[in-house]
Amino acid sequence: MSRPDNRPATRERRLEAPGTSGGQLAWLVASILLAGAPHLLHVHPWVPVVVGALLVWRIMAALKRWSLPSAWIRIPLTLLGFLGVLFSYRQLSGLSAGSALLLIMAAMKLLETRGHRDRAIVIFICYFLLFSTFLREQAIWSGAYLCIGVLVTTAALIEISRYGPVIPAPTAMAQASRLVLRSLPIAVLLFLLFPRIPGPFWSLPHAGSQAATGLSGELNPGDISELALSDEVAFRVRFDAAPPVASALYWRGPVMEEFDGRKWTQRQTWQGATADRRQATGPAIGYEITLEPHGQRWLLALEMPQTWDAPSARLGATGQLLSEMPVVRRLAYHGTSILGGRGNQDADPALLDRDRLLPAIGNPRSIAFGRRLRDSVTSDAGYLQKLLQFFAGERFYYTLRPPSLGTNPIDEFLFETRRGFCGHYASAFTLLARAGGLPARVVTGYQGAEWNPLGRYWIVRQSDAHAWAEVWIDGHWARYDPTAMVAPDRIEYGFDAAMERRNETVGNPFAGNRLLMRVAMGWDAVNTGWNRWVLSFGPQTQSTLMGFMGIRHPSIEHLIVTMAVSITGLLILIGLLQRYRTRPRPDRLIAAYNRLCQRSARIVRCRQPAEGPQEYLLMLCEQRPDLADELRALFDMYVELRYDGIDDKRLRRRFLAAVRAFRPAAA
Amino acid sequence: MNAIAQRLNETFGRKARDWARRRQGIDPRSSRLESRRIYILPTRAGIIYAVVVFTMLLGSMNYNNNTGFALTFLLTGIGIISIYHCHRNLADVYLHFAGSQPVFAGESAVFDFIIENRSPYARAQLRFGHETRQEICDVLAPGERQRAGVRIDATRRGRLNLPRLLLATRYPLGLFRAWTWINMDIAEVVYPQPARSAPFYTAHHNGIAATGKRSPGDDDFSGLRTYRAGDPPKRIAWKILARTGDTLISEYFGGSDDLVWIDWCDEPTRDLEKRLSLLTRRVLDAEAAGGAWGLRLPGQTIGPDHGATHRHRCLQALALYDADNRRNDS
Repeated sequence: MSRPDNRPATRERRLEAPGTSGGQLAWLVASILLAGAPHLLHVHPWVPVVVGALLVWRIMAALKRWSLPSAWIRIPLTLLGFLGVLFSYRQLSGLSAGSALLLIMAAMKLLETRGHRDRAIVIFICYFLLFSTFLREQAIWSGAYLCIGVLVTTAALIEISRYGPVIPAPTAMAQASRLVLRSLPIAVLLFLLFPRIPGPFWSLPHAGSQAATGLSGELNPGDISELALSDEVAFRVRFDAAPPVASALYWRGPVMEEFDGRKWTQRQTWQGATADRRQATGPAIGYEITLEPHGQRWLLALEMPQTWDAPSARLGATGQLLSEMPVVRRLAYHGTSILGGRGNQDADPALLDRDRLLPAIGNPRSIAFGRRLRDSVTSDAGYLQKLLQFFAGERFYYTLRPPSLGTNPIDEFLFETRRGFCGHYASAFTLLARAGGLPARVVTGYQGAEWNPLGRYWIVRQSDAHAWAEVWIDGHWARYDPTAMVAPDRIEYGFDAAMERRNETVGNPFAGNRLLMRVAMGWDAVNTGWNRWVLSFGPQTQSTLMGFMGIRHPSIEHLIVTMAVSITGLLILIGLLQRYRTRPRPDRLIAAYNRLCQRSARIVRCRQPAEGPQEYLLMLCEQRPDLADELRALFDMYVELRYDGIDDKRLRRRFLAAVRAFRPAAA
Repeated sequence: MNAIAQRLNETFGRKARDWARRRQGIDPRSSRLESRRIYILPTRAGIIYAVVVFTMLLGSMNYNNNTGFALTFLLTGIGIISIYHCHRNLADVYLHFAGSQPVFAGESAVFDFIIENRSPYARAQLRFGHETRQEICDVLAPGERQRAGVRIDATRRGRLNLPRLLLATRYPLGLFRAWTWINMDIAEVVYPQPARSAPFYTAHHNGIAATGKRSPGDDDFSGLRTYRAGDPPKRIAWKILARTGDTLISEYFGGSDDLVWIDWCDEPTRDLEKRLSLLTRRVLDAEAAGGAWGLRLPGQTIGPDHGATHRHRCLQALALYDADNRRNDS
């Protein structure tokens, strides 16, 4: 007996969890590659090899229809991977070990992708790989990479969740972008309002690749020439009011007081000593510094700092701002300073004596020269004046490429080579001041700043690094910058201008080309926005934001309530919007046609349900020849729109208008 | 673990189904699946996703990593939006029952449905069918209708009630599953399974063997009558059809010899199901033979007649014969 032969034409595909199709596998592999790529250079070289081999195995298995390995093979392989990571890294939890483990897990999981959940887990591991990229790198490009990564992995998630053939990649990408775009408002609200509880809850892994850049904490004349060549941004500044003139912008960093004849270093005995900053007088300048991480404890500030809001920072005895922890993340803080402030005026005499110390050996000529010069003048101030005149009068040259100096570097510099950089001048000046019996020290930091008109802030680059001297005179520390004597425009106009005269342009590579300069500045502004609003977003920014909404001192409860209310509101809004946008809409064309038929019914009779427009029209025209032309035009338009597959918007509008205007008189 | 999950699913699943049924009542044969009857829950993949995102949140908090927060919240947003997309993929779909055909016991009955999308957006990856076994309807463009058959094994004769159906989707990310239960009051007749062959009737029977091809009166033309479904094509009066456009059937004298009576009492077995099975076979054979035939059952007599309608009436009578009592017995 045969089946009834009028079987419906249904597609017979049962939903027994089908295996992973080739297209889905391609998406999974692409996701692993994309999410894993940033890690490849940071893990042990065997990891990419193993991951690649596993991927190739899986792809070959799909192409050659090999069966996938059983648990007897997979579990030992997985264990081997874990042991390999443990052996190479001696741990499983660090950043590199973690990424290596994730990569291996993703590739191993790919070997057992039978059902939807297995495939989804591969994608989730990819999300995690993307996430861990940020523990290593937070630059703006990594944000862009994230967006692409999330798009592709989400499209992959769409594809692997399907039964049946994969949809074309552009369609999947379009669906994924729609999802991502619609989720942006939720993400932004959560980002802004989710209470930031200061971590860490467990120890931070070492970010191995992040080497400390910037001032080095010691000064060996000639060292700074390397920094001067670096165009990297040291920090960015926004002034509360009008900025001071460029020549007054001395950003104090590490202060060196110990000199062994070759090298200046920071004194290790400053613990506990805190400068009394109230004794500085003069108008205060307020500014906000966004400091790039440099891995050291010092913070930069204009001389002399009065207030600062960097957490757990204090002012050392040398007037130097110190953070309790090394700055490993971008740090924003607000400070006020009094320019030309005189620092602490009742310094410890014992400490002052240490600042008069001359190295036990070396540089005899310089010391003798200093003593001679001191004896020739009556006052300490006169002596320092003489020293400055010495640097201005003699044929000293300012250069980035000073000759190397031997065992008595200051002697060689002052009396033989006479070519040097701010570090040379500062250390020579300080040594001479000490030779004259004055307490003196070398201050390193940055001088000047570059205005970014697009972002409306100032940039201080590593090439602005500078060194100068401070001398204790008349009961206070005074700044002396011998470099200014040699190349005054270096101080007035910044580093590039000084170099330009000597055709040694370094620093901003686009200096001189206005357009490129603008592009470079624009890019820096974008970067700063990223830093300001994304990377250094935190409790402070949140309370500012809440301030805008009228909540002055927000607590965590405030944030949670605001977040809950706004997210709920947003979700309801999305729901309503979706309902509105997806409501079944009556076809306006059909509605208009029905209206046309209703009005025509006044002429003779209603259109019968089975009657087509042409038939009905013929009947109408027979009955009312006087209306024939009008009717024919109307019905022809409808037929054209409805059956000819022409979606002409203008014709459509004309038809709708004509139907509205059509009011036949009853027969 | 899985066993527990299954137990929980069974207990709560049944309660949920009963609750939904009370809530919805019986669905009309043409139903709009409005949003209030669409349920949505995370899948296991969705739960894993939530755990992953939560771990990311902890990581971001620990490292105070704002880009990490950004990714975490973006993924949170994607998860939430996928709820909406999943739900709206199912909401306001129209489901129309489009008919079914009687089958013989042992075959599977196909209930035909039409899934219609009247909304201005496309639907994807709809799964429709049994609660345990569905078919996929991949894409349903705006305004599109697609046929979907629900195949149900008819194991025994009688009335086959359409079970509770399921329309579900996991689109787009497989993190959530939206579904709705459909309870339509639809039944189809399942004819008894025909016996392989039926023995000749014993001598006392008034007619001849129902399997007999021979009809002595075949050659004696008696007149014309209008066509009925099931009439053999060779009896169509083709000349008349060509001339007038009317489909007429030539009838021949067969006399009482041509009339076949299939009689309950004639079957050589006392077993009800076997007897029905034999009768079914005879009905099919008699209809195939082309002559007029009738069926005598205790309490009712159908025919004599022939054609598809007659055949269905007889088979239905056999299918439903004492069907309710039998159900109670078993």
